[in-house]
Amino acid sequence: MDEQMQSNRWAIQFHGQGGEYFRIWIVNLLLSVLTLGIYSAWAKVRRLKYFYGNTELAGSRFDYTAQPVKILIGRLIAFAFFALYAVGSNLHPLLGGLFGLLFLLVLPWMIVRSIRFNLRQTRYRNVPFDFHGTVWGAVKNYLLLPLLLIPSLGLALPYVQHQQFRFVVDHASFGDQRFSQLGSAVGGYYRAALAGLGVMLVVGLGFAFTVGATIFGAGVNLSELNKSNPALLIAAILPLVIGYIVMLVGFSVVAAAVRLAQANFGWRQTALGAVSFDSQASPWAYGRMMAWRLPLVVLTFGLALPWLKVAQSRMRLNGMSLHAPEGLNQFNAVVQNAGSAVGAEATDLFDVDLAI
Amino acid sequence: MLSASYLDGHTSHLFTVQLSRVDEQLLIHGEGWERQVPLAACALEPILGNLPARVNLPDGAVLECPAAQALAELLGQGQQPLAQLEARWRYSVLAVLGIVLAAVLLYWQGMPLAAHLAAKLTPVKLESMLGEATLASLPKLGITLQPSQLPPARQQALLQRWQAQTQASHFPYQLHFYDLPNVGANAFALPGGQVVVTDQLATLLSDDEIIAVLLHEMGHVERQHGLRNVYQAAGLGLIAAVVLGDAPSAVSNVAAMAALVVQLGYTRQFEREADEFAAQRLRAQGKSPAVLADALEKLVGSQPAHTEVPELLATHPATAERLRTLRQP
Repeated sequence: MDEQMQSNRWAIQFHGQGGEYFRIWIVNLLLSVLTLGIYSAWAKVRRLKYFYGNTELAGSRFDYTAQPVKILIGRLIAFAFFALYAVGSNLHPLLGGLFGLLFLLVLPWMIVRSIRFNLRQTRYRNVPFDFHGTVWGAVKNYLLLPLLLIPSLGLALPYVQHQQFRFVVDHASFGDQRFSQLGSAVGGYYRAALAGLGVMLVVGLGFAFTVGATIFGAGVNLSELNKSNPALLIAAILPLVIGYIVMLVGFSVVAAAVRLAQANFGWRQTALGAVSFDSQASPWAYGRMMAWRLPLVVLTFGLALPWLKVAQSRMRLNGMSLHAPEGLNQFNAVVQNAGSAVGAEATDLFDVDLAI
Repeated sequence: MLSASYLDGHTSHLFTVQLSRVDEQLLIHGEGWERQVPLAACALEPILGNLPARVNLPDGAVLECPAAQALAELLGQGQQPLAQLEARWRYSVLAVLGIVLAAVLLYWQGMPLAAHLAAKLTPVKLESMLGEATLASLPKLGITLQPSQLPPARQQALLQRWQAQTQASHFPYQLHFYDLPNVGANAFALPGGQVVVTDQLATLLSDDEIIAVLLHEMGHVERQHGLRNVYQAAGLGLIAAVVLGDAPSAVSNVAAMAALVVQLGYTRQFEREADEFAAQRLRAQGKSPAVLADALEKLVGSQPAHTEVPELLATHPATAERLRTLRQP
């Protein structure tokens, strides 16, 4: 046997380096700007190849194998649609509504297509992942279920997020084996969301306090502001602007930590055949990391973003491990007959890179 | 001999192999098996950071080799310009400078030029439809268009003078008089030739001054400022989407605020252009551009509690500067 079979447990290791990724990212950005965005499809493949390729499991790396041209075509289609929408809605309100409706109808189909495309282009040990979710499933989980948010005043959000996570995992496969959920993680989703809500309340109160202190404490009369000179105006508003940015950053940090905690709960319930997953990344450490790196990104006009991205991946992935009693050698690639392979190529045309 | 992983593409089994080269063949040594592949059929993927090298074989099998550089030399496939650009900090610094330069050029030259071109290519029919739709949507924005209280005779006189000014243009001009107490003394132009004058403006200014203001508005229409604004905003949005593709939401929020300030810069440029257009027309008709300056001054004086905001944040270029330009002999 070629693997360390004695323990049957493998930790995922992420090897990416902030500085190294910065140099790749900045070249990507330059070429994207110089080509007016056309290169961005190639940049996406290079970025994902970097992150997947630096993710090591049991002596092998993940890989992203998408063809940039297909991503470019998907982006051009999306761009054309939104250009039509922009012109249409300016010409006649009805046209805008019509496009909106059309978009809602196409959205579930696009969600399924883009999840499937991205999973099919993801390989481990040269065996691809796949996705078997149906359009109806996407309608249920991405269009109908979110309607629950209205009567529940948002309280259903963790449940909706959990169902969407399940939709992806339950219909994903690696080689000839399907992923499955051992139990429900919905309780964990709620606990994480409630803890996050508590922290957000503190941040929000902090902002409200800043506003109050600025207006009443400094004795600034807002109606007087109009007539005073610009320097005074800016001096009076500056604490508000800074307070607002701090609040935005605070909310982003908390939201990211909550998502990480929820992903932990989700992965712990996930299995792939005889393989089970564990995820123990610390939301607190993740939040602390984000709390100082995110402002740095804002202050450096985005130049610190690559370090943030690498740190995120490192913390998330290094917390993950797999328990595989039978090892990781027994997954077979699904043999596709020639006909369906051609079909897959044709339908993979539409990769709309939705941020889900 | 180079150690590598051999992944056949049928199973997730990892075969540890040794690689060597015999003439123009790559020799793959497994435990108890051997395989030869012509070098020309070995597709080495572009080197990326410190990642292991990946070689795609013709039948779909893959070789993964930690010693990327050594494998590239073994296969005789060196020279990777992209990897070389990404390997050195000095190129990163150059790239940052290049992005800043490209962004500045795009902002000052590229985007206005592209928007101008796109506006020129847009059919006049579409442009005037856009203007009509905007006019029709004003009540939804809280601007109720109340019928004008101006004496019909004065409206008629102004309309005649306006038609004389605009009849040579290929834009289908339409002049509207409305009573807009919320807006105050103002005139504005929409894409394709819809021009609105408020009663408040008409009572404040003389007919000559109104014509001067209308020529300024005509400048906006002739130079297609409304349409160019739409295109420029769309272009900025597109570039922001490309650049900030994977940025956290807090960064996007801050960037959106910055984009607003950037957008204001274009608007100021448009006001200057419209002033120039009006001044040119007035001079050609033997009148002084100072009429427009007088009108501007009255307009500014009529605004309640007026603040001089710093130039960077002002939509209209500091009025003093505009007045100076218009009154130049």
